[in-house]
Amino acid sequence: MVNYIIRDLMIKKILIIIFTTLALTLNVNAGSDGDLILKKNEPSEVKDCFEKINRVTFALNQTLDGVIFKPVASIYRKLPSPAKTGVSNSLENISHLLTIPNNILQGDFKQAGINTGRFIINTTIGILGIFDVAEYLGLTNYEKEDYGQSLAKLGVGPGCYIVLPVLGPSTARDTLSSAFNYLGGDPWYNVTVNNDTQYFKNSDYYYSKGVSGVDFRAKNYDSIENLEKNSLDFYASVKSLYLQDRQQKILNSRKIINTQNDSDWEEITQ
Amino acid sequence: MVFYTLGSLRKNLDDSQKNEYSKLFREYFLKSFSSRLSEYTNPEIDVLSKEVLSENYTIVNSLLKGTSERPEVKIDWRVYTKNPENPLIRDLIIEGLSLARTQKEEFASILSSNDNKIDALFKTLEEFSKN
Repeated sequence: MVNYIIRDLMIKKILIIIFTTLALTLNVNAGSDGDLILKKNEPSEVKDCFEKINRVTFALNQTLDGVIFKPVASIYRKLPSPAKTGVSNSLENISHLLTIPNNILQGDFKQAGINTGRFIINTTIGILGIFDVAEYLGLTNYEKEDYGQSLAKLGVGPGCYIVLPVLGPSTARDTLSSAFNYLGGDPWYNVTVNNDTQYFKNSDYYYSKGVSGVDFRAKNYDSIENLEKNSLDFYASVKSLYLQDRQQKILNSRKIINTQNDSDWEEITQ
Repeated sequence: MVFYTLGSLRKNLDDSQKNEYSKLFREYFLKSFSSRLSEYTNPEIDVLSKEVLSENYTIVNSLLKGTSERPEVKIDWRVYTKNPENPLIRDLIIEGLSLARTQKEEFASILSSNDNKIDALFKTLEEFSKN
């Protein structure tokens, strides 16, 4: 049995290596427009066109959070660590289904290969993704990708900042592109809700989304409490942090710090 | 960093307003930052490496050590080194998020909802420090 697993692993590793080498040679230098993307997604460049409505939705979300997400998250975070890690891992494993096509759209074939390897290994040996076995095998540094990030890489600007009910902060571009998830863009949605497969129920999709909301809230429980307590304008802080984080995710790099706009510092001496 | 957070408005301040802002910002910053750190009993920070970006800037990478309940946090210090005798910390980048930028955008939001009146910001800062 163990022999089979090892042999299986070896074959997969070899396949991954072949795939990644191929991908590397095919991959033309993507992201030469990095500076332009950087500028477009600069948090201060993103307009808050609907600030009044956004603030109302934000307040509504805070109420919802207080009634549903926060209490559930506070119970969830008391679960033993291995249970939480298992849940987190399997949610992350599902997210590979959306990340891989987007790796390809962004021209990052190497990462698409690595993530395909991660998904196959973790779904099988890692028992439906509960254990991140791929991490131990050296397939590390997983970053989620989505259609919004792919569009940004193609040069589409973020448009206005929007706070969505329940789902929270977003931008016009990211909202439109996540609609594509429900039109065939998200393989996980396709096998659960869109098509009648005998393996999955519709509820599996909604359940996974709900749990990932709780998982996110629990992981950031103290940070969110703390930010709220120490903010003079919580709405503005969340907006600023969200847009900075989004910019980082789009670029997958630390470039932001290195090229941070300096013009605002002129003549300041302290 | 104190005046950076005010954005372009700082150019219109007179000296007494500048002093007032300096004082209020310091109180606000100390209070909010120490409250953020206080979650870490005995905060321990490891300085990992530095990266010279240009003649004027050096990034110092550090790690706030995790405890059993809190995760570790990556903190980068953006140090302005134009005058090597007197290096200035211009920004803290916590897990990739700039503190100076967040603070500036938060203040900008408070100012814009109060017709850009600096007194409104002073009042908000004062109230925060008092509570």
